[in-house]
Amino acid sequence: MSALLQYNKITYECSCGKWRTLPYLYFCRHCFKIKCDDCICKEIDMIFCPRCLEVSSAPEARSKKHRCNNCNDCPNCGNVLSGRSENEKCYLICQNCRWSTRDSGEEDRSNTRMWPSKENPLTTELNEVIGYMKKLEVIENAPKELRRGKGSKTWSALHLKDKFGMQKMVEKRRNMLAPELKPLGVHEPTAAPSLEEDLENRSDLMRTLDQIVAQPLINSSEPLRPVKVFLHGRTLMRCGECERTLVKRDFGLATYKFKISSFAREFVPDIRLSRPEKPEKLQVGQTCHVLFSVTNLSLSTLTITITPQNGDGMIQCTTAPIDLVLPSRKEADAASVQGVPTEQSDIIVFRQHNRVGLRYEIIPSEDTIQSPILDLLITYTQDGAFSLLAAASEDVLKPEEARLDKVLTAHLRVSLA
Amino acid sequence: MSGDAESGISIDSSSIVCAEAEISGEVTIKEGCVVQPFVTFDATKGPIFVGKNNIFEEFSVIRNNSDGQPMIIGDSNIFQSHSKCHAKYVGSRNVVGIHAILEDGCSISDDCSIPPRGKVHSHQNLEPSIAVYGEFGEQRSTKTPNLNPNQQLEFLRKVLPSYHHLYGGKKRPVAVPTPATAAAATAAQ
Repeated sequence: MSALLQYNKITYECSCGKWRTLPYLYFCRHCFKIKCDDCICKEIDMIFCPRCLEVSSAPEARSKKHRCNNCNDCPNCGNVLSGRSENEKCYLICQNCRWSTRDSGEEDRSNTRMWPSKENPLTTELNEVIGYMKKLEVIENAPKELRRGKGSKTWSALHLKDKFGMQKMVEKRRNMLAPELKPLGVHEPTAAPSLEEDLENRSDLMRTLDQIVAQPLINSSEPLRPVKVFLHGRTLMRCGECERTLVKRDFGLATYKFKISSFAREFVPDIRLSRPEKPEKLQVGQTCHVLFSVTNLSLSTLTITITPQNGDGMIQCTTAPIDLVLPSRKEADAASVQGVPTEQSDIIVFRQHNRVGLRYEIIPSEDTIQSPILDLLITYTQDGAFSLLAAASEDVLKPEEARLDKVLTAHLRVSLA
Repeated sequence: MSGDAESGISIDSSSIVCAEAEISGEVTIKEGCVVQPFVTFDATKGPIFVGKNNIFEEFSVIRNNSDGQPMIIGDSNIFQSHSKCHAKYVGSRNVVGIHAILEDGCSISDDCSIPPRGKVHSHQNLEPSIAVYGEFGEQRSTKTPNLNPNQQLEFLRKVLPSYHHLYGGKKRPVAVPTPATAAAATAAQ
């Protein structure tokens, strides 16, 4: 779709200096800056199963090891496993490759929820080690804790009387500061299998890399087990500077609506090449034409100045800067807009609702004909939209400042190749 | 049996064949089959024999490309829509997926399943309970049988005649005594 709309030919400069196409940019309404993927913060908003859309909270997801309890994938071919019941018991089967839990020797169960998967056999040992390490951490931090807790002196007098049952608390605190340590038994090293043994024990059936990666806990001699579906995270975007929310989706998981959406498309004039399918052939030293359209997709009228930049390595443009007034999407729909004055100009080709077609004259040189890039600087003000925002912000503005709309710029490059 | 002896088409009266189905050559369809609209049976090069209780979904093509050799299709198979079958022999209880192709002269035994867009190459023989899957047509043998299409058959037998003209201007057939209805009838007696 983006190829059809020729979005890939026009890149905008982000406030961090990177060049991105318009659909990949955001606009912070408080910093008045264009933001790209690399200069925003992302935050996990919701964790859910992509298959059954069940939402789980972060600790819940952690306890589930970020896998869905109810949805399983086929370990053999990766398709969805569906339940099939027989004699009031059910088993999971893949409709594509006919792998079933019966193939792996698992017994049928009364329901398909919480299908057991292979657990790490060393889980208890691992937990013991983690607990031991935590105790060590406490012991190491104990001197620091003592230094910090100066109130302990007053406590010591109180706990002698033990009027308020302080004794227990003090004991607890002391225990916390220096827990008893039972050294753990050393994990027995297992003998590394030799190549011959490994070859002998290997099952005849070779597994693909995908199958092995999906189930790292299962050895090649064991049968495959259903793979639980990974949970996905839905993100919320924040501006990297002011940390205000740029994109926030609606509460429900199944909706595609946005609560907050500050996509650059809705604030910055959208420039697109007209007739990209038949570009004019560029010739060195001759005046050629570039046709493009400017669209205002924002909610308020834009006053735009487009200035071609004849910088180093850019194609030379002979057209003078042009001023335009573009009505908003909403105004353009209303009947009253019919009377928008059409400027008498060589540059404007057509004017239609919230869109203007422009024709620019360029002269390619020997250096620029290989990769012809037209450099444009757009200066624009948005009617009323930002003064309202400024009034709502906590900064107190001078009256004359508040009334003025902020002048914004967008720097973009059009690739004519 | 209905159909005329000259054309060689013989369809059992309990089978439901929609009028839009295209049947040519010597085709025999036995009891209880359901042939949905726009199915092609092309037996101009050799006869086609179809067993009992098969389902042929829309746009599936059954074509005998061999020279005079018969094509035999067993019982309770499902040919899903847009599947192409040029096989020499198809056993029973197989599922041929959407857009799957059984090439000339291959043969398939019982309880096999061909996935959507799957392919069985010509002169390939599938043993019983083989499932073809994946991009490169990997095969594996399975212990789980295909589901019996009885429920689907019953539904189609009920619904199709209500909304389609049947082949050869046939009227709605008498209800087929399926195992369930037969059991009910005996229970009533």
